[in-house]
Amino acid sequence: MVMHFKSSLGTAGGCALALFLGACATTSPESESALDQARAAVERLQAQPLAAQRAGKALQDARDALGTAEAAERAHKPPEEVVHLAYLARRDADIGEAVIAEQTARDDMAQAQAQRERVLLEARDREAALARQQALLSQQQAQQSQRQAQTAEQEASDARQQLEAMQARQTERGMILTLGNVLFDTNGDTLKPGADELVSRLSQFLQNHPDIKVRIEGHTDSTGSDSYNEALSQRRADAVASALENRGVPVARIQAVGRGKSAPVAGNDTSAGRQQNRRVEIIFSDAQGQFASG
Amino acid sequence: MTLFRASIATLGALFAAAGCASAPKPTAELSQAHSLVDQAEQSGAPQYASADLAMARSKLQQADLEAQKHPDLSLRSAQEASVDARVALARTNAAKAQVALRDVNAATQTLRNETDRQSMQSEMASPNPPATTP
Repeated sequence: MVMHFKSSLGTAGGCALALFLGACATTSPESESALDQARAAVERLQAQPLAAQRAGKALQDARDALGTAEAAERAHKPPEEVVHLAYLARRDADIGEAVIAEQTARDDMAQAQAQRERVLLEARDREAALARQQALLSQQQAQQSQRQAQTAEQEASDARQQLEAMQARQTERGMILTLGNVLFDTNGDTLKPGADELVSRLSQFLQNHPDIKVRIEGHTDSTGSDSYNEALSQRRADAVASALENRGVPVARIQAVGRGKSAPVAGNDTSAGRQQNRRVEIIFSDAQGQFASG
Repeated sequence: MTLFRASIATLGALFAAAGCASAPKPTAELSQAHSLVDQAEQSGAPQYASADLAMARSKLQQADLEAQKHPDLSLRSAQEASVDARVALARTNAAKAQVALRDVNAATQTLRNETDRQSMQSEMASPNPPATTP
């Protein structure tokens, strides 16, 4: 404002104005201190890395404002004017600092968003891989249980065929092999040598099918007392069990029961019927060691 | 004639410089300061740069009060109110950018923790992942 008037001064007033200006201008501690603060602020701003790139305009404004304030000081402007101009310079420097902070955050934001995209992508990839792995696992499990089912079915079918080859028959109590009376002496409980081949095939079968168990039941006709018949039938069942044990079948897989005359398969009034009733039956469990509850 | 007019103007100027008064009301600076303070208020400065905004408001009030009686003081106050409002704006923008950055980083970290936990669970569930060819 004062500069403006000075430029339009006529020569007549020049000296008078100079006098007035001289009267107003003194170097004051306040203006020195304000200028120092402004200089420090502008220097701090300049010292920021990338200040020129990130806050070029604010830096230029601050420098210009500081220049104006220093010029006012040199021109001996009133202290409050210098303090005011120095304040503007200091605040321009503050703006520069804030602009740099904002620009830095924006630059970092680009990186942060890229990073977030990467992590999102990784998460999606990982989930997809996990899903593929799960699918593969359940496919393998399905295949495995299918194979197991096939194997079990095959084994059951093999066992049935082998038992049928030994003349066993399918009943509601499971596969049953009947050893006829001819394998024992009358009233005797010792297996005849003729039974060897059957016992051998039986033990071979049990070794091939280690999960199958057998129940050996001795039966008699109705001739004689109950206690005699039960004891005899138990001894005959035991004899078959021992023969199997001797050929290596674990005792845990064998039950031997004497049932006497309690379960005839034919009438006891003819000799043919009685002969059918005198027998040892071998009942086979399924491949899980379970007997049919028939 | 011209010289006479110039002398009158000079005299007026001398009085102005000496008395530091009777300059015209700084209308343009006042209206700029008002507009900058409004802008700062609307941009979120009350939340992010309340101290700077308070300074700007107080100087603007002073500038309005002195507009008639002390136009030169009013001019300074208006200019300082403007620069304070611009500081408030710049600091608000910086704070907003920093908050946005923190939010994105926090979201990324949350996602990463979640994925880490998931993969740890899946490793515990199947310690030997099956080979790719059955």
